[in-house]
Amino acid sequence: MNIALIFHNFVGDESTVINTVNPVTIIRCNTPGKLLAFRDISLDIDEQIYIERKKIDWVLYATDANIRWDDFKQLSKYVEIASDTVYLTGRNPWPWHDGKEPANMLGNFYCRPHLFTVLGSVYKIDTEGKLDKKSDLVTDDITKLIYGINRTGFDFKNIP
Amino acid sequence: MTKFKRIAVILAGEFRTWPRAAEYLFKLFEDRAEQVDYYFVTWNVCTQTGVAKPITDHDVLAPFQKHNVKPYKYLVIDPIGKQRTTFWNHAWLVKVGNILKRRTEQEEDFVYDQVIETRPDIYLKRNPTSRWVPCKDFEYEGGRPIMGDSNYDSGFLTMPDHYFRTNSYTNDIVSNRYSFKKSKEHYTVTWHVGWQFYNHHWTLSNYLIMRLLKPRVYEEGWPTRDYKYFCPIRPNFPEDMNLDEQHELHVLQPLFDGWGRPYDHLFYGPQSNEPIVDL
Repeated sequence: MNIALIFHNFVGDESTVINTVNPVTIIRCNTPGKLLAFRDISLDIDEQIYIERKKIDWVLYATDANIRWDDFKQLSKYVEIASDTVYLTGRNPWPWHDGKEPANMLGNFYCRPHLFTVLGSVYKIDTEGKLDKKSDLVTDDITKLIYGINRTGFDFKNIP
Repeated sequence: MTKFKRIAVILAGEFRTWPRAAEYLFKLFEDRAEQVDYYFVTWNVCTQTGVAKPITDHDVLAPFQKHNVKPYKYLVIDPIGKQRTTFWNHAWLVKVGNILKRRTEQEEDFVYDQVIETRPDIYLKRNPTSRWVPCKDFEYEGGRPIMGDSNYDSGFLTMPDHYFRTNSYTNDIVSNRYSFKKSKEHYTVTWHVGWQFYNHHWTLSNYLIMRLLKPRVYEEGWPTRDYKYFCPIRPNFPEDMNLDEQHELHVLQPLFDGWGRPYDHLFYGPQSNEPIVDL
């Protein structure tokens, strides 16, 4: 397994995640907004794969140390390289929030690199009149990302 | 005719007849936008004439210089080895072109109005009635209606693979197709029973449908296509022939058909014995 480990505004001890995952590359991003952060990260990943020819077959996006590594390792054996699913680390109840902030519908997740490209381009989508946010439970950025995932035929699920 | 503010033209593919095609490609795009940014990506070797001819930066840049055009970014890269079919070799180059484009958008903090992906060896004849209606998210110009024998069972499935116009977001999706692979078992078994399902057109159509992308041609019809006629320029096209003055079906098509595929058994061609590297 060749993992690209993404730290985005990470809170906690990076070294525990690094030592657990043993990534082939680490990308640290401090861009505040998720959409432009994904743009920057996806470019880095794609350049490493297609221009530097680095072997990367998974991406772990982490904002904290809850990465459910053992569960993911079990699951990953059965996931095709062309998989179109974002695997969320999740926790119950889902979507999770503390009542003070909008729900973090995505949180930490694993996906194949080509899926991260799609997430990195969502900022370009014209969603004027297309989003029908049902509640204030989610931010506009998360709403747009979930729209982008679905509209392009991708999927997401919690790691069992 | 729509004139855009800034468009990207991604020329990705084997070098082949780029010096001949350049003139006509520049002519097609020259008045489509206030600013046309060319991105060029090719392998550092070309095998179209049966020998492995090294390709250098100079080879890529000379046609640009001859026509007083400046490429925005370009790369000449090492081959990636034999893939399941040449669809994936081409998809790698297309992806690199897309990355160069996206890096420009990030560095300069803007998004291109439209993006064209095409090949450096393609002749595209200008269409005087073309309107270049802007493609919106999830739309592309480049498909064609099912015609004659080009039905679902012929392997064509409406999708040529030589020209796409989209907006920038949809280009990011279309150019992400290297990743589109089915299982090793699927490839092995299907390859033996029917080649159509792994040819460029089937694979590309499968990918575009999965990504829920919509071809504009089904709305606009043939007369508004971006170009009037296309064919790859082969080495047997006479050097002094003005392609714009030739009859497409009586002159250009027979020349193209006449070249055939004489070297598919060499290098990373579809009939070569090189081991496939991605399985």
